[in-house]
Amino acid sequence: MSPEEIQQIYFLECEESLAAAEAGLAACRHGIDDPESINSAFRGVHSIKGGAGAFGYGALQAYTHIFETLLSDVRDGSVTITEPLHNLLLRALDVLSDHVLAARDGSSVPDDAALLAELEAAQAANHGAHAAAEPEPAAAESVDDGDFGIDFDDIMADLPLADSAAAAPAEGRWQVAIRPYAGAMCNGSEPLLMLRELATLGGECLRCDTSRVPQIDDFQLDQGYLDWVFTFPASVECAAVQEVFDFVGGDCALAFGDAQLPPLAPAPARTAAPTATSETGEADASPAPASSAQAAPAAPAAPSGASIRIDLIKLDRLIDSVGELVIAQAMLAQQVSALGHEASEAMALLESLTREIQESAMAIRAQPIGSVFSRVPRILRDLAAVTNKHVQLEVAGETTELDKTVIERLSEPLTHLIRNAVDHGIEPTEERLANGKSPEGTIRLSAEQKSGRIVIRVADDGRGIDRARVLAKAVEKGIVSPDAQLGSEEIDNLIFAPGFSTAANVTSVSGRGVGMDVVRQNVKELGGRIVIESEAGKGSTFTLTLPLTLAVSDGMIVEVGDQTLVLPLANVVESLRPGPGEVERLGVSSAMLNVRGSFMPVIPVAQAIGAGQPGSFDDGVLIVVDSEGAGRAALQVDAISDQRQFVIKSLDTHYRAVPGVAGATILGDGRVALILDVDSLVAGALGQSGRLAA
Amino acid sequence: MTTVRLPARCDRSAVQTILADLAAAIGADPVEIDATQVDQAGQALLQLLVAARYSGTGATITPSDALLQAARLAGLENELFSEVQA
Repeated sequence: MSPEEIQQIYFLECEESLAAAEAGLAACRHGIDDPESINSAFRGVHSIKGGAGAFGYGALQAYTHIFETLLSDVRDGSVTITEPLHNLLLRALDVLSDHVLAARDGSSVPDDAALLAELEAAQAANHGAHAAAEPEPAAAESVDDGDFGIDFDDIMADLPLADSAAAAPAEGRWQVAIRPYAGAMCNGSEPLLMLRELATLGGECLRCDTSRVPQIDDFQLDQGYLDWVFTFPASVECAAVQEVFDFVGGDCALAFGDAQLPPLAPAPARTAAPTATSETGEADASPAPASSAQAAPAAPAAPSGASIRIDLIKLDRLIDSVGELVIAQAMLAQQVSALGHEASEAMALLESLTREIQESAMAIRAQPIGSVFSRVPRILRDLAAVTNKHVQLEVAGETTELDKTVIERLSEPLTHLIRNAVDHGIEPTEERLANGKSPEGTIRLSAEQKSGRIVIRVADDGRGIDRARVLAKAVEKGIVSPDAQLGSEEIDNLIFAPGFSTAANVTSVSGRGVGMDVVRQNVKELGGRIVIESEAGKGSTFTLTLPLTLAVSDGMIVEVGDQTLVLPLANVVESLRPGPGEVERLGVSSAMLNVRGSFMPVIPVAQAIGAGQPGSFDDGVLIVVDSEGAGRAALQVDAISDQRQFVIKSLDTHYRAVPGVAGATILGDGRVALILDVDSLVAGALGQSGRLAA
Repeated sequence: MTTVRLPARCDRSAVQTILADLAAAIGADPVEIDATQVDQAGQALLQLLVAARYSGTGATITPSDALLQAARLAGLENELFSEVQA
């Protein structure tokens, strides 16, 4: 594994650590005395610090050091957590997130001077009081949970080194600190064998830290008490050293660094020299419990034992192959059937296995949506700073899983929706109070899996959409013609029109009319749909319905002329054969379908895609579809031949984008069928229905 | 002076017995650890020997070549085999 790859893993872990810290701090807010919550925040920050040192991100390391010192004091109970302090910790976390981004992208380091001063002031205020009340020696500072409650740099300075000259690596050499946890000595693993391998690579033991070894009466066999610092000539790559420890994974913490040792796991050190300890005969510091020491290995690249990281390209290749397998299986089934054989047991088994493999492969890519939801508190805090609107966030269903690609592309629309809800939905405090509402607004974010799709809701308890204002603005901007007669739903949908904004002033939050257009576009690109429900004075709910995966979808196979086409099932509302008088002609080429008293335009698909003249309405089938921009319409096709899963192949990649076509798929008989893009097909056929002028 | 003799193979289960022996032996009198037969040593043994040196009035260890090499590799040669400082 190359240093770049290790670095990438570090940044991935930073994201996880930030999310854990965020969750920990959020939990603190609700249960202020919960030690585990603050502990998880501390662990998150500490892990980031460990890697920062190893990779030489000085600014990040310096920042996290001060941040974690304060968190450590909060965790120990020597600093009481109050509302202002909680807010300070949250702000510090935001800046930490910026620091991580700066380190990752190589951009400029955020200005953290003022915040650092605040953090230090919060800690110093406590230390003054603490020291005056209870002057205790550093040696007595015990770590109740075995975590990193100690300023490691100080400990390093105090380490009992037999030869202080040996503390620094010789010129031209670099060093790595090694801490095997208890697990590294189990199951046939032996740290000394790894040290031997290091020696083979050219490594030399600079020192062995024995300060955690207890007296014999406190000695526990299942504990690792020794830390090593090994040095290597510059010609040895750190990847080679990392490789030696790949086998033990999280059971051994490593910290690479030339200049100084990055902090490692807890060391409630015996600060007195060994002689002094044996003279007093007292164990003045209890060793860290094995379980908690194991729980927080600080190695930058220590993967968790229960999972492995896989290159996304490899995964995509697997998914592609599985897609081909699905097609091949369908082809085989069709050919067997064409030969007149009855479906055999073996074919049924093959089909169920293929489906199983496909589902398992998709499950590998599935990730909990919580990774996107966890970014929302930060967005809300940033917005609160700009708009002065403080919003409570309620989250549900964050463990709902969906495809990684969907998750990644969901972040942007979700951010826009949250910003929109805060800026336009939630009223200022005075207005809320005047309307008999709580002073702080609430945004509810939820996700659930429903009939093979993911439903995400962003609901606010704000003022709801002011339809009169939206319509007036749309007319003013020329988005809609002044004489248009629009229903509530259609007016609501105007906020998705490009260039639409009701904001009086363009601010950093909103007003450029870009956001909601992007939301609809992004959701559409994901094969999803977005629906607005809004009630004046009560709030608005944006419901996003997304596919679980982008690779495979359900569709209706239809025949139009000599073409076989696929209609995504997500768009289909119902299919019917029109009865007498249900299709009313309007002029020569237009017709309307009357479905239980509701009229919608009929679009002959053959005409829309240029596949010849459509048949008569009496012979064909009408499929009622829901489209984003133009509402419901009835697509006229010749016949429906099947309904099944299909593997989506991008036309953009293999050919070029074609209006009205979302992609292609391969049918069981090997033929290629185009997948219809219902939204653009309907919008194109209706010429935007004459309602939307833009 | 009490002498604790270490077996040739000092794996984790052996170290468990050695720990019991050392805990019983270490007290007011110095302990001598005869490790001349040791041909297999790991971290478990090394750190136990360090603990023995720290405890009570300490311990003197007479190593085998294998133990000496293991201690050298781990940077514990001085820690384990220098004169008892107590």
